[in-house]
Amino acid sequence: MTISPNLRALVLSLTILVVFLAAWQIATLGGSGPASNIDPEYAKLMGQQVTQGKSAMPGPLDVAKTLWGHLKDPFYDKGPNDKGLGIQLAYSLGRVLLGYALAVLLAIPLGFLIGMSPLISKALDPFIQVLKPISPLAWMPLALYTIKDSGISAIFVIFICSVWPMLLNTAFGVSAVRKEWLNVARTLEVGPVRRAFTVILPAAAPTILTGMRISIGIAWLVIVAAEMLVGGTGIGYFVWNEWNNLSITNVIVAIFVIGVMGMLLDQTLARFQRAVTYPD
Amino acid sequence: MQDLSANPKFISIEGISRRYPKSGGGTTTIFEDLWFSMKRGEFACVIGHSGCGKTTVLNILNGLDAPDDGAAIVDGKAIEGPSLDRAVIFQGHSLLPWRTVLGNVAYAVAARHRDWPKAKVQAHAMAFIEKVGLKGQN
Repeated sequence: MTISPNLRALVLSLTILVVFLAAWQIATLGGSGPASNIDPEYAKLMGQQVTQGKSAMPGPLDVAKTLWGHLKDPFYDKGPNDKGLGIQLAYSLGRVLLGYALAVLLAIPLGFLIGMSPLISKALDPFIQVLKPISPLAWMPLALYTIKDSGISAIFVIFICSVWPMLLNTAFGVSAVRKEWLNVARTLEVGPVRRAFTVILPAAAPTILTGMRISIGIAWLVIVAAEMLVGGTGIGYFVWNEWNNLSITNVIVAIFVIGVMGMLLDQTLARFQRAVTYPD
Repeated sequence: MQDLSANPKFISIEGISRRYPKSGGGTTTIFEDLWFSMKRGEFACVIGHSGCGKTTVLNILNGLDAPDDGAAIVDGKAIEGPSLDRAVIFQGHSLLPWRTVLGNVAYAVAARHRDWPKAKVQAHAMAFIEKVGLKGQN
């Protein structure tokens, strides 16, 4: 009997998951048992880690329980330091999408210009080469000083980190459009605007979408760090707040949720990318 | 009024040459002092070894390339760029792969007849697709 490769991959994935969870559970089980010769007052202060030899690291069951608790009620709001996971995620997602949208609006037209004009490409190259390797978080103090608003500063940081991959990929995609296609447009006397939309844009779309996909990934990486700095709301702030609470369980839950959200963003763009890809 | 069909030089290539810059200075001459002419309705083959400039002559006639010396004249007018009056079927396939067959044909039809409504363009393109036996091939 042959089993489909997909099913076999699924079984293997589940096995890896079970082994990982089991190892995690065993690693976080209590070690030495309750210590009996401790002063009860002191034991009360120190908690289970000292008195019962319990690891401070939560097991998978604790995490699952906490995760379920968050998922059951994701949108509660009990003041600045106690908001549901859904609300925090929505804040982060809003900042990412806003900064990213602004980056799209700048990077794609500018990338088109750079790709079409060798002069502009050469003139802007030194600026791009210097600005591109700057860590987006290095802009944060400057953004806070000039914008004077932590929320908008976070959006600016997302903008600046998403711009580069989209700009460079658009410029490359536009400059690499096959000469034959441009000649077709020239022979048919198609005007420059029509040529940009009917030949260059569809020809460069897969490359542009690759840049957009890289950018959304970077934006999602950066928002967590940015929110740790600006604070207030967002999933990055949640992680740092829970670390200050010493709630490792919540930190792990947040890490997991960040990963799932990032995957969803990437898959969405991958779908768009498949839609514009053409057989060559 | 001149009778164009009697014009022995409907297409006239007059002393054209094409040179490309060589790496390290100087130029490579592909061909020079090339003369020939064709009547309207005449069928001609240009034969030559690989790299002798057949495609270059064709590109000059299409207006995609320009000669370094001389001129190419069609219907009494020097060629100054691509025009819908002169059609070239390219050697390499130059179909737009993100468009369907109908889309590719309709693109050219729409470029020539800019004032046609979309339905007329589609019908015109479809008629020619049918003519070459590609209808219903998907």
